[in-house]
Amino acid sequence: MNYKINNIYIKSILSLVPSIVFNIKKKIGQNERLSRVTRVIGVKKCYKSKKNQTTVDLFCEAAEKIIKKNKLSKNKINLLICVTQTPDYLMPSCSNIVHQKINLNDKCAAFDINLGCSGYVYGLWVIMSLMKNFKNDETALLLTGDTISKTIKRKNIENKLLFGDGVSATILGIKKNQRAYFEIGSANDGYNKLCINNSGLKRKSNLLPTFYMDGKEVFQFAIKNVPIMINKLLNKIKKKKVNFYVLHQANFFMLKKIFELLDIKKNKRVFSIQDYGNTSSASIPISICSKLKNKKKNIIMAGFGSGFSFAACFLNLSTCNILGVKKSEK
Amino acid sequence: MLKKVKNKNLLSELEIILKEKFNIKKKINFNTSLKSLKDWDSLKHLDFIITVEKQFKKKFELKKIFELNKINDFILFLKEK
Repeated sequence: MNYKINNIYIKSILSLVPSIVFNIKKKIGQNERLSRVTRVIGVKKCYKSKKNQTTVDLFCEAAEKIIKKNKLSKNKINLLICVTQTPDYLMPSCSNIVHQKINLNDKCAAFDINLGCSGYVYGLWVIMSLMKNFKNDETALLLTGDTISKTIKRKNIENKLLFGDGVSATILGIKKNQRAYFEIGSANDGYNKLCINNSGLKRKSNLLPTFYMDGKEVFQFAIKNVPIMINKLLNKIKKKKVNFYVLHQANFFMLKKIFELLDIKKNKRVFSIQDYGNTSSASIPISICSKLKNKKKNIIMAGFGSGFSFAACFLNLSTCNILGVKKSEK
Repeated sequence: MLKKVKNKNLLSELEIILKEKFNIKKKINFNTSLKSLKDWDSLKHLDFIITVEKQFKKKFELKKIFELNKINDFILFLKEK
């Protein structure tokens, strides 16, 4: 479905990665299996959370940093949404924990969205849809990201390198003459092609949560749906109005092929996978923070992944305070 | 006759790629399926596509990338103008 949302804008974006760097050459030396990950997927390094550092820990740190940098009043944050698939608990939700830890007001609503790589755009769509009755000085906070490395087995070295941990914090506010266009959807197959097995109550004995991905099926899903949803957005806005395309950083080769198919100029393509890996619902904001810090323009974002689910949007970042990618100090 | 020779040349070039870059020791023929090769996975498949694209200076259509499986599929594609 497509949606148009008026008068809500992204006030600020900040991304946060853990302090542990997983560098392909330094950590394990070079071999053919790992060269292949760099050659095909494009990853050279990524970041891993510490053993006891959880998604909520990163969310809290990112939230505190963005609030401080923007000198926001916590009393004016009326909505908090966390998007993650690596929550600290099944119950309570991460947003309730973050809400308490960073000391937000009682009137601030808080809930989670269980989505992966499509989660940033989905999160923006949900939060913007719920902000329609906000007053001019009221804001909302969107936190997205995962600590997916905790679910990847030690021997699964390709995925260990491909998937990095990271989160993002986004502040949204009210502003006149702002327009955002969304294309949102979910495929009717593929729920079992990209998942964390044994992560919920449907589990076999005492097995630990374990990441699983059918790379071929994910690839097929993405190339089938991503160009279509971007073209649907481009039917509503003039292509020349789009300054940058920020797609979920799943696979360099795949993104390059999608850009070629859509005939997107090279200087409008944004890649950050080489430095951060695939960071799930944080990969779009990490790309914006690392590559578009001083280039605040009209962008198309597209997320796609577990579910299978997909979402794309067009919006303007000209007044957005992009704070960059910070390293965790904890 | 010329057509057969050309096909055989392509076959041997693909065989060299599989041997040198993917450590495939098995003798391949036109009907060999990539999926049947030892430890073949989607990452290797994409790497094979990238290598063939580079070597033959031809670009695979996005939708066809995983449709191509048998060696003969690649040979037919490489012969297309």
